[in-house]
Amino acid sequence: MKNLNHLLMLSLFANFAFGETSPNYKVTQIANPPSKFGTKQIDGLDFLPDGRMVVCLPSGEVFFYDPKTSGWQLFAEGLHNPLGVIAESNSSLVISQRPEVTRVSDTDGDGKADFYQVMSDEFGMSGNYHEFHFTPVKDKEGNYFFSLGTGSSGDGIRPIVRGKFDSRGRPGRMHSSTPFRGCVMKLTKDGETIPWSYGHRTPNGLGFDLKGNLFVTDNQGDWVGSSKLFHVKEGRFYGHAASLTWKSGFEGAPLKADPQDLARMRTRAAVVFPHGSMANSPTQVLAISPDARFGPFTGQLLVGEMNTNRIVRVMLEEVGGELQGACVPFIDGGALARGCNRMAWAPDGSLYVGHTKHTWAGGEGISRVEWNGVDPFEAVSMKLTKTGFQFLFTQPIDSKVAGEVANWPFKRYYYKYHKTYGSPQIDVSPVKVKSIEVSEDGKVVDVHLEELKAWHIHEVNIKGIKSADGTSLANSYFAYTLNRLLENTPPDPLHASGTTQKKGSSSGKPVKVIDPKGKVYQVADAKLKGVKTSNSHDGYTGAGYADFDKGNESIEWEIKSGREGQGEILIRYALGASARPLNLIVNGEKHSVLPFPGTGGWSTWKEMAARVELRKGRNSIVLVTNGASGGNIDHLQFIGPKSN
Amino acid sequence: MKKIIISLFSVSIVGMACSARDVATLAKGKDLYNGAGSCVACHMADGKGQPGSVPPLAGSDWLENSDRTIAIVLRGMAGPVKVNGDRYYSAMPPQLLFDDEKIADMITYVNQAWGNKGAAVTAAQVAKARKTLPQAVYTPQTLLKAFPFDNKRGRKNGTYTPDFDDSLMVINEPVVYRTFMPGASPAAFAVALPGNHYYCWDAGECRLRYAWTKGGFIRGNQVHWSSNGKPVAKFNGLPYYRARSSKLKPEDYVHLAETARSIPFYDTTEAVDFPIKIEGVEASPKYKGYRLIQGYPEFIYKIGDYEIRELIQASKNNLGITRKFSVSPKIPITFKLTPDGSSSYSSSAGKISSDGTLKLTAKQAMEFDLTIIEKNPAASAATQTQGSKE
Repeated sequence: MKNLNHLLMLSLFANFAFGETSPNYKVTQIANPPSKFGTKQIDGLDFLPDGRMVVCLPSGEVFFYDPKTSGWQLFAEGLHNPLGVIAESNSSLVISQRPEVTRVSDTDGDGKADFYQVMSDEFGMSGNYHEFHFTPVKDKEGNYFFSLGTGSSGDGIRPIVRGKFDSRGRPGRMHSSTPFRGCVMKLTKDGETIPWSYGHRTPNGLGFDLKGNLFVTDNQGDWVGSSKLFHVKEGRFYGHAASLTWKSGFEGAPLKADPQDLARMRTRAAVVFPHGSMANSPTQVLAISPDARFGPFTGQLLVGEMNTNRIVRVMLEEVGGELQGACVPFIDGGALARGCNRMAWAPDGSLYVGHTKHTWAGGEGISRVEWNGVDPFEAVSMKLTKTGFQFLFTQPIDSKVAGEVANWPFKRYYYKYHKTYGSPQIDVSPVKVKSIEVSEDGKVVDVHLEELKAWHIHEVNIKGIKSADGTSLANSYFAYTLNRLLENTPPDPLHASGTTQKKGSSSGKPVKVIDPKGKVYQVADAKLKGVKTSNSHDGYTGAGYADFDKGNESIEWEIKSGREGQGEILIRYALGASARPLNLIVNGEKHSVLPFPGTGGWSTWKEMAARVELRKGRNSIVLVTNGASGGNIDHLQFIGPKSN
Repeated sequence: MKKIIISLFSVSIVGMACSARDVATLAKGKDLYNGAGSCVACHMADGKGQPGSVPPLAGSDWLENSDRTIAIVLRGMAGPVKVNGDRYYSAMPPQLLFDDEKIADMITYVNQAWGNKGAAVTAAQVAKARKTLPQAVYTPQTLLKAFPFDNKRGRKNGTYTPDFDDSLMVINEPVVYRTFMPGASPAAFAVALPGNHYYCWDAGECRLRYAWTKGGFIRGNQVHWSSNGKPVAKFNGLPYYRARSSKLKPEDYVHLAETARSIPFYDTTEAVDFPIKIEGVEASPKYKGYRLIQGYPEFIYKIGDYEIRELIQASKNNLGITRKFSVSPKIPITFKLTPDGSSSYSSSAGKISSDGTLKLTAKQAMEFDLTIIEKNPAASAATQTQGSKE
């Protein structure tokens, strides 16, 4: 088993071979702090106003480092697994340790901390090892945010727990049996502690972008199909069920809730990190600030990765009122150790990285990443267009290679949302490139795709791209989390389907339609291509209805007509959104576009009529999507040509 | 054939003679072991020693060679040793007060007590050793060079390289760790005091949980820190003081280091028996942090608007601990002192009633000391002497 694991690990890391640090970045190591326990893991890292670095160690020791003298000085000790630090002054730190957010200060000026003041301990601890307390961050108004890990079924809880025990949150692979485990917390500047967002599993890393948006990462596991980056907003639920125990208005046990209800409550990730290829255990979020000296990426986000020696770069954009975007490996492999857990900008604009592992895959020590001032050959951005994606490169590219459709092997897929650990990639399909346009200056490439499918990850590992002078693109593996399209985004499929809105249908059986005028052909009688059947909404006839999603989906009925001539078809449908036209094809010929206006609700059924020319005997009636989604189609009623 | 019979016969004669003499020797040895010799204080009446600190004598591989035993008893040995695979760090002082016969009796008793099957030791053997052994106290290295183990036993017996915990054998300045402690909420402190008293303070309930002195401070806590954080700290002694909690039954105590429970015994919102009462204030205590005063943590917590500070040091006679309290603003308090059976309380102010109630005036409560003393500290004092630098 051990060997098998080892092999799995090897193959897993082999998949991470897409990236490479540009030669314009140099990674060096800083000598380790002189821990009396020999600890080399770095769990917190920041810079003091005076330019010294502060690091926290798992041993509870806190050291200052002077880059000028390379000298270390012990500042504090005895803390309980400190996992993040903010240096507020040269003598006062805010530290996240297991039981508290603590202000650690030197009040007598002897260079050693003597006052350990509770800023917040308004959260529970079951004593489970996995209940980590991650990074504090501070917004511009002076409020703090911190995040609380859930407990693991790898162990239980202690005989005495801190905070109110609630058995509703106790079951599950990752649990939340004391307050706010699995939440991002806000500690206001006035000292009030508030659960800020819910649904986090192992939220090992918070950070702001330059506009003040708050982000948190999460690690793959139960309810988290692949690791993620969330844009944190007050009161939202991000998917991991356990912390719902503490959400006001949520009743019952999280694991007993209907997963479809949870899916509807959930806010999707801004970025999904594909497991096994991009990141397996993302850590801190750090914006590339104007003070950073790190290349032409100001405003983008860096996200550390624990399992491999990688720091990922994230490019976000607002689409349909929410943030989404792409990720790409950035500082990758080579001299960088694994376990990139905490990062901060040094006064000289270089990046310092603290490495840790805590028995998981990871590393030790401190790395420094310096940029040499020359733009690396990278994509500066990947943006969604109406027809595909636009890449902006730092240098003109060889347009001949870039113009080859075969060099842009796009594929798309999604991850399941379920309580099971992780998820395979579902519905993996190649996405055909229609055409490629390279701008005149050679820096902008527009890739037009045959289709963009909302709520799917679109990834590409671009082949062979070179700059005009023959330099290879440093990092060519991009994954764009396409939640929303620029226009006509279909509803989140996890929101639209489900069983809970069937309320009342337990008593109300499907409505029987008996119409003397004609014969009813149910969805079950039809050939479905891509369309799924569903019974979530009330009022359908037969066994259910066809639930159109976006894409090349169709329903085909074969109807029998007693004679040749003009007949009528009535299509019963419900549409709780604005109009979704479908193409009508009769006997292989396009007949018309049926407009299908909204019916006012998903349980409100109406009929759409069309007159069609039929032949005697078998006739084919097809409804096919028209570039976007369609409504829910219940049945087709056929009134044959009158004899005259 | 004859020869064999004779030798068998003579063995049995000797055996009979020995066992007749044994009775007296063993009785004398046992008296010395449990009395004047003070062996019992550290090695315990059952010969099992104290985990991590004092090696066992019952079943010890080290007794296989009585010359080695005599050497340790006469000259003493300081340094970490492995005995039957386990590590022990306490020093053995040389036994200077006893003549050859008494030492022989003690060793004979040890060699044959608790199921041990070692040889009797004579005064002559001790006398010879006293003359010939080098004068210095042994280290494990020098001792084992003179009296080595065979290969088989050598794997489980010998010395080891001390780690950081071993440097905490003698506490010269306070050591403060926040870690998972048995018998406390997960928000706990482990503190070691100069004078080698140790205590667990629980920030989850704002109270001293227990104190101990035998067996040394918590060990191996690096494992807790550098691993995934699961291990609960371990220490070898037993608390001489344990705060009363009616939420815990005596039979619960064996479960207090567990980590794999599905439900807790209780949570801190249900905590009872907080010892300090202020009339008219119903609020639960709220932990605020601590200051280090010459390295000693002074815990700060609040009941309603009243701030309580508590700093704990070894008592003046080092037989226990002294808790230094201050309450502000000025207010009379009632302190419920309910130590368990093996310790007793005294107060610098007010009078402790027979049911353990201490009522203090507002002025008294501004600053007062409570001292907890182990009721029968002789054993721990003896350990203390051995653990100290002298």
